[in-house]
Amino acid sequence: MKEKSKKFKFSIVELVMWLVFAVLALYSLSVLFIFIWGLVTSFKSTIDFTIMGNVLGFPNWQLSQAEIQGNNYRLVSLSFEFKINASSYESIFGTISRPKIYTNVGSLTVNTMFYAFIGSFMDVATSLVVAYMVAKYKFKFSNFLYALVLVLLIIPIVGNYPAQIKLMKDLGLFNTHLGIIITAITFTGTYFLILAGFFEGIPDSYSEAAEIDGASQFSIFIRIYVPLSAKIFATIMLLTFINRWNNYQTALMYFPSLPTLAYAVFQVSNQTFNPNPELKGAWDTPQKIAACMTLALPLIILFIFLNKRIMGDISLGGLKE
Amino acid sequence: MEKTKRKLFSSRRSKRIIFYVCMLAIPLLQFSVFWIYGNLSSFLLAFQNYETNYSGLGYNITFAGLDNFKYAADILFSNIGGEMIKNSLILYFCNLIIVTFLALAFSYYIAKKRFCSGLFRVLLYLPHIVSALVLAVLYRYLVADVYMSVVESISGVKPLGGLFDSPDTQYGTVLFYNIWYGFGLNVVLYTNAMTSVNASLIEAAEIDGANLIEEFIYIYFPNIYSTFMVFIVTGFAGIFTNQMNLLGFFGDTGKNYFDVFGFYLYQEARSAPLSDPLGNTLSTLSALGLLITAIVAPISLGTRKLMQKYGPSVD
Repeated sequence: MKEKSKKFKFSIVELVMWLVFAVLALYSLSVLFIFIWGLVTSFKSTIDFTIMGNVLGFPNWQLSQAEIQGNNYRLVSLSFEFKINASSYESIFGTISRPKIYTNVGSLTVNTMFYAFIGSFMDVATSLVVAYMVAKYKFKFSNFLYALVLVLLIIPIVGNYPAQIKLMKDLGLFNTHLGIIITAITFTGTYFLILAGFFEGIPDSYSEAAEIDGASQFSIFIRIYVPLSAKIFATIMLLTFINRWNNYQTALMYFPSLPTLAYAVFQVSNQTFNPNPELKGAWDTPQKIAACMTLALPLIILFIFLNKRIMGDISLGGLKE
Repeated sequence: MEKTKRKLFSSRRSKRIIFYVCMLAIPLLQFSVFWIYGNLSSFLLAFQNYETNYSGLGYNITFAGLDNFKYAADILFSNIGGEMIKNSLILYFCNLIIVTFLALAFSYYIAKKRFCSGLFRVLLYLPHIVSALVLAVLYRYLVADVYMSVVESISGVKPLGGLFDSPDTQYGTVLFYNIWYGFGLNVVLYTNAMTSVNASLIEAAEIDGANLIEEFIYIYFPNIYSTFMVFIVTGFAGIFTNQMNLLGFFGDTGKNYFDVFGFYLYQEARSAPLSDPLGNTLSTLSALGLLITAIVAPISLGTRKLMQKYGPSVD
């Protein structure tokens, strides 16, 4: 009887696991479908997609003589050439003006790399430094800092956009490259906790031995702990880079004259007509999706090669390498 | 000898303190300016009233008392405010019940390295590599163009619009997307937490005859409880900050038939003036933000305390 009951329990558990497998498989198929559909659609012409109604099939390469398949990406690169009006604001240093600018793929990419790469480096480097100080210098202030970050993560500060915008303008940092760098020097995030946990896991004997040998505090940090943290630094920086590459709202809010690729994709994906007034021709679903793919494809390629590092064993509670 | 020891010790301590102060100076300065002063400014802005000068240049700043809070309360407790809260609460509870439950189940499946778990892990993470804007645009056209085409081919009649075009289906369509999108990151973080569970505990449970479900309840869940708690507690703030990707779906000119506070606050912050006789100003938004923080903060802290007190223990 007990054996039967055990077998029955076992089969229910297996059934549950297979049900989970089924739901997971369905979800995974939906993820694959949306990306493949997007990629395929980005190569269709407007005639093919909208007029002929070929919404789910492969591109009809013979359909149109006038529109060449794959032209969407060329159109997108041209559509990224839009105008941003001149602007100015008052700061404590006087009037700060931004002239009218015309964007192009090059300038968008430069802005994106600046925002994503420099910004993520400053962000993660700052978190690393503060996490090291908190973990290895056991002063009361270190405990206070750690608790502060925890509290800030839990207590939401809602609706401080207006004050942040005003502060950025007062300091003359709104809409500037310097503003991007300075706003990135922050340590109040989840990755600080992860890095602090990492440094706490490294024995103090390393630094003690170095001190006996006469190394300065700065040397110990740079020559011992920074190399040890290289792997986790790279992983977190990669994650932060991806986040910043995709972020269009911050650029829209604080740096409107320094548009990034994500910002440009946002602008063009909501247009009814071709954003570049000098271009004639359709601006429809396939073109908008092609614009989205220009933002997504570099990261998908990055993910294919670096997925193990990107998904690395970083957890909120600690670290496992 | 004692004097030498004390000198050496104080010299070492001094060096450590100097290094500590120097390394923390810049990050703390940035924090002081942008977080402390920034939020203090937000606090002060809520009590200020900006009036355009008679000359038309610059503003007269006066103390507004609680006027901005009255405007903010009018927004928060109005019918529209109530609708926004209701929309966000529905998403929060859907996330709490559907997403959390399924994410835990998916994570457990992947952590146990069952069939195709490696592939599932990669595919679940993929939506979070790509911009939320990209997915929102892809989804938008799937539920518009593709939906209309499929309905036409099945029924022979082309619908008037996609699922986003009707007020009856728009919210449900957006809600479904947000639930679908929410899985991936949850699963990866839960999976990482589960894989860090001590293997000897799992072996001991297996020896004692625990099945997979019992292992999850008594071994895995208590060990990942801290991660679980972070999601639940921080989710409260999401009620007023989650924009449900509305900006990605509708842009600045699209027609959304519903709103949520996160999107409302973001859009208003971009366009609200400093001075407006009707009161819909940046000062009002700051006051609204403070009101919302005052409501959500104690709930977040209280929930965390309760979960810590009554939740499962690793011991």
